[in-house]
Amino acid sequence: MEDQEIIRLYQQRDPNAIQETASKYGAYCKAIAKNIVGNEEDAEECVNDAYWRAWNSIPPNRPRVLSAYLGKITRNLSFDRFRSKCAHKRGGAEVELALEELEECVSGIEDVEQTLDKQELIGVIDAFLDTLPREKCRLFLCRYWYALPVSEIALRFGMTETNVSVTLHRIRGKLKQYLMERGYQP
Amino acid sequence: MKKEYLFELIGQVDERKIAMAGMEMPVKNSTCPAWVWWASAAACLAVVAIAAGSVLWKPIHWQGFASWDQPSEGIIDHQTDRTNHAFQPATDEIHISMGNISINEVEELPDAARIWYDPALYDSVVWDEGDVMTYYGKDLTPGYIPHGLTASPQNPAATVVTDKNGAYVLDTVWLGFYHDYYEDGSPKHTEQVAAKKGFHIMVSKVGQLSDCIYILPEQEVKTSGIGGTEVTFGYRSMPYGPYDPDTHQPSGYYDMYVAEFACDGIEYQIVAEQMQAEEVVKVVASMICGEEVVVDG
Repeated sequence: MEDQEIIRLYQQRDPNAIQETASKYGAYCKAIAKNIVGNEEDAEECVNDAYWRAWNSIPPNRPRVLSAYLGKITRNLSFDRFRSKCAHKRGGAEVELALEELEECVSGIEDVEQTLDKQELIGVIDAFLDTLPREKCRLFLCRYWYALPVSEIALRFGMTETNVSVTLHRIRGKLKQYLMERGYQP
Repeated sequence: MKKEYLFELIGQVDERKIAMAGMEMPVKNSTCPAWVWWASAAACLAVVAIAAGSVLWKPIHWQGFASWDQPSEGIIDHQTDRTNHAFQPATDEIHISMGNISINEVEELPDAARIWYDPALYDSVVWDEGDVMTYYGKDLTPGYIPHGLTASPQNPAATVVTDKNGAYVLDTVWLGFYHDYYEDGSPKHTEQVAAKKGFHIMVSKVGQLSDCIYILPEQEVKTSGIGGTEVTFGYRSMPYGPYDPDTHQPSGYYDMYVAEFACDGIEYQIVAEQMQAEEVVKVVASMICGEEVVVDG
């Protein structure tokens, strides 16, 4: 079913909206969740929660790109779950490695003032991604948005794993520089 | 700033960028519905029967060149892929037999007539990637791009035209994938053959694509079924220069393939130069099925 038709089902409060969403985007959402939470059970729960979050948010929202909208909800829910579990135990989730890599870009110190500028910071990161060539932007998001394993990215982009790692390292360096030039002490 | 916070911030970037990161494989999986699996199984059995009967199998049905059978579903087999590709369906890989692909000889591929739109009646709008994504609802980049080809720096090139009510009268988008580019972004000719190497895709919802003219009458042009979509493949042997000043003979000829199909309300036309037929079929199939397919000779 076309995305517009699925969105129409949500707007008409037709429960088939969830069934159609699951049928079309279930695998997509689950892959995102699994990379973040690291196991099937949690991933499944995050995806089910994401369907209900979508049900409760459309309307009033009308997603421009349904896949990304659902993906974003799933990612947020999965990351929340990952963090809540972190206090007890870690291991198995690809996102841990991605976070370790991102550590290079940040100081690790909480800055209350910067937290207040969240929307502005998102805009800066968006603008930074606009400066990247398309393929590098995709590569960066595959790793740090979708938390895809480096081996998977290498397959998808026809690159070696070393090449992917080096490219990501350079992009992280550029991101850090970009943030600092704009007055953010990451 | 903490790494978790940075990860959270990255999570809030523009949704169009997220979709463009190429994460639509499972989404596109739905364009190859369950019946394809059954059809594949049946077709697979048919292939086994043919092999058992030692029937000679012509590799490609050259429509207009040689005799051919009735075209059938090009996807013939799904084989289990056990690698855990997070964003690919970790189920089966799709196989296509070139034996089921019909290729029609092309007479001419004229450039689409460039219509002049009176600014008093129409508005021109330059689209960026995000606009293209929003309008077409998907990343138009094929799931498979042959080794050695890269995306044009001009991708996606689109200047669309709307009437004063905002209705689109021209919505054609162009994407190129070639072996190399000149500084201005146009595709380079290869050293051996004075022609481009690679392919471009034209898409439109309102149907403003070039008319590919085939040698056979329109009703006799054969299509090939891929993932439930009928695709018209065309071929032309193209001359390239320099031309002999006395005999006017070209330096040689290269292969040009055309593929035309409509999927999800979008018309596609792919023109491939200096590419193998199998590669063209793989590109087309990856656009229809949303994932890389295996083409069996």
